[in-house]
Amino acid sequence: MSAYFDAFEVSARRLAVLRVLFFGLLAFDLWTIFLPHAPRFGAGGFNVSQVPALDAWLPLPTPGVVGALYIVGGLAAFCAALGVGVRLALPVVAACYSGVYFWSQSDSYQHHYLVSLLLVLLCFVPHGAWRGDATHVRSWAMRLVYVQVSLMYAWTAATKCDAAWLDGSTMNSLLSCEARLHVQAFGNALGWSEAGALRAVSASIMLGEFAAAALVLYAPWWTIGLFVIPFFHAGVEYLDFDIELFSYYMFVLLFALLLPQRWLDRGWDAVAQRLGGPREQVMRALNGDSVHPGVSTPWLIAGATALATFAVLRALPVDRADIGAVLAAAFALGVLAPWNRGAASVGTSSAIALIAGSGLCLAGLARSEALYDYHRQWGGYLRRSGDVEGAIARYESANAIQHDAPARHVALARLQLKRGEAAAAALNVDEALRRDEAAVSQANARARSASADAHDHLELGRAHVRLADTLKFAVEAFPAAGRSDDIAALQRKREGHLGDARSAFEANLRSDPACGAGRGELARLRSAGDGADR
Amino acid sequence: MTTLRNLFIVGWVGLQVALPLSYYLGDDRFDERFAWRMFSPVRLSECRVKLVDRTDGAATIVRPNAELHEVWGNLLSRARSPVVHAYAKRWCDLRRDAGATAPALHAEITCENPARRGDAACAGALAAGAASAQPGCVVEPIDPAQNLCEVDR
Repeated sequence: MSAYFDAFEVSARRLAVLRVLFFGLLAFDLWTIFLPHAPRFGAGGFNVSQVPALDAWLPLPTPGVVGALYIVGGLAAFCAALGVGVRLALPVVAACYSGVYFWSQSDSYQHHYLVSLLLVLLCFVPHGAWRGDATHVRSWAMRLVYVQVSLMYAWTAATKCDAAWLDGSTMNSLLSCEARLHVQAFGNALGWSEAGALRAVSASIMLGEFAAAALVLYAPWWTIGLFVIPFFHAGVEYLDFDIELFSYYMFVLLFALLLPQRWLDRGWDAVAQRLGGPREQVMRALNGDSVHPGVSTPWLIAGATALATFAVLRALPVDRADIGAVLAAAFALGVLAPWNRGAASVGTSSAIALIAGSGLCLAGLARSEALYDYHRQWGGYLRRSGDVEGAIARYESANAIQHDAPARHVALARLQLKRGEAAAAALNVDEALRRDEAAVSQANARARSASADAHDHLELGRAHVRLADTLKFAVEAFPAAGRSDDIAALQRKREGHLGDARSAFEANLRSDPACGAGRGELARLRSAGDGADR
Repeated sequence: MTTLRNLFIVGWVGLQVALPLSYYLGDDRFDERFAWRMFSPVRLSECRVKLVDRTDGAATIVRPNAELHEVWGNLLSRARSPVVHAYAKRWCDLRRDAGATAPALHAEITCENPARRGDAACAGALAAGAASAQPGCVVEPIDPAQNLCEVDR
């Protein structure tokens, strides 16, 4: 056994590809998908860890601490992807990601478990290998990464050796309408019934996963694995299963782990030929003669970088951004510290990477829905649990982040009305109406364009329903605020938008008669008597 | 160093074999966290979850969703046993702090048997309840007669 692990060699280029793709994806994941979920941690003073026996000793997670760990973990992953401070970045990412995963069962995705395990294993890869000190390096930990991926495929295949999977009934329950049409077409082409096609697909998935377990383990078969295994994950995306970025992690992992070395070398040389010269020039300009270990300039740059990292991340509009900013500044100092001992792999470029990573986190979050979701979801929980003050504060943050798009103004106005602040509630309804009308105009333009599809009609219908709901609440909120708006006109306007919504949903069904989601929306309108309340 | 590393490898692989195996050899079909069971029928099985306060012979329904984040409500409704027990421990401790000497909380959880999902003979079994459903169509992951305040003390 020892030789099986000891003798395993991996090329520095393969590790570089793994580093860039895997950790780049991880940074994106932590900042945009994990961060909005931070408010659920410790909500209601309740938590169960993945190892409940430890619960008596573990502190209760809080949104502030979990959010900070996601932010710093993302920054460390970003640095690892760029090859900056990898020695420190890997344990930091592993501690942030795996630590939060094992801290709470509120995060129960199996691929988060897989990523946690892989992050721990990657910490044991000799750090010089990530820097490319040698062309090849022996690493028992990388062998264990392959074994881990193989074990995952083997178990997930073994779990499918039961009647409920093999008779196609589980697959049948999982399929979306569109996917079902494709399975039917596949069956028709072969002269099979839909049930027969489902059984065939189910059996081939099970057999394919057993094959994947073997292909990953045996290097001469990697090329076959590279072309076969990603099909399962592509299928998962095709069937539209909600498993966040799992498929993308597997694409990245399979590409980095299974790409034949000669193809990797050929691609590497081609990229190096194009980018090598400019990269050398940039690195020389950044790290060249201006830095001399032992003089005060490096310490000044390290301090300034830590300060800049702190300042940028402190500006993030999340709870306890100061914790994340302090941890990130400490990480920056940790990364730049080897520089002061004369290490060759760090320099001004590392400092720039750290500041760029922090800036990317701030700018990227500002442009994504993540921060809006963070406050919106937290506000929703606080509203349901009766914390009106807290919910109002969260909704106000969410609305400010969302700029001109429809947000949570009506939900906020409801709470304000409940608290007797009718004038403030009416102002929020005005703002909701302004944004909803703008959204209807935009959706209308898309639905009337030559390239409009079923989805555009669906979105237009939903925009009309949203505006109709806001108008319904306006009828209640405006008189409470003492405003003399024409209530009958508001109601007529609302009826008009409901009619437009019905027309848009019908157009959706005409564009996609088999699977159009307009059917469900029309049913919801009928069951609500007109429009659904938000 | 080599011995330590070998122990780590053996422990790692051993855990990755033992954890899923313990799921298949164990009784709890509803906690799939470490089983690598993807696209599982368990995830599709519906459960009816009722927590009942039977302190002093009463039978009052407890509503955990009113105080917990919906993520925990979802895990309770999927019969995740560690979450049921953790909630029970918290509930029982609060009752004891409030002066109850012998609080009693029972979990009446009935789920579609994942192994028989799609079996026509089991249609409507969950609505019929554990007592009336055809044998094997539904399962009760936690014994409803068990006082969770005694178990989790």
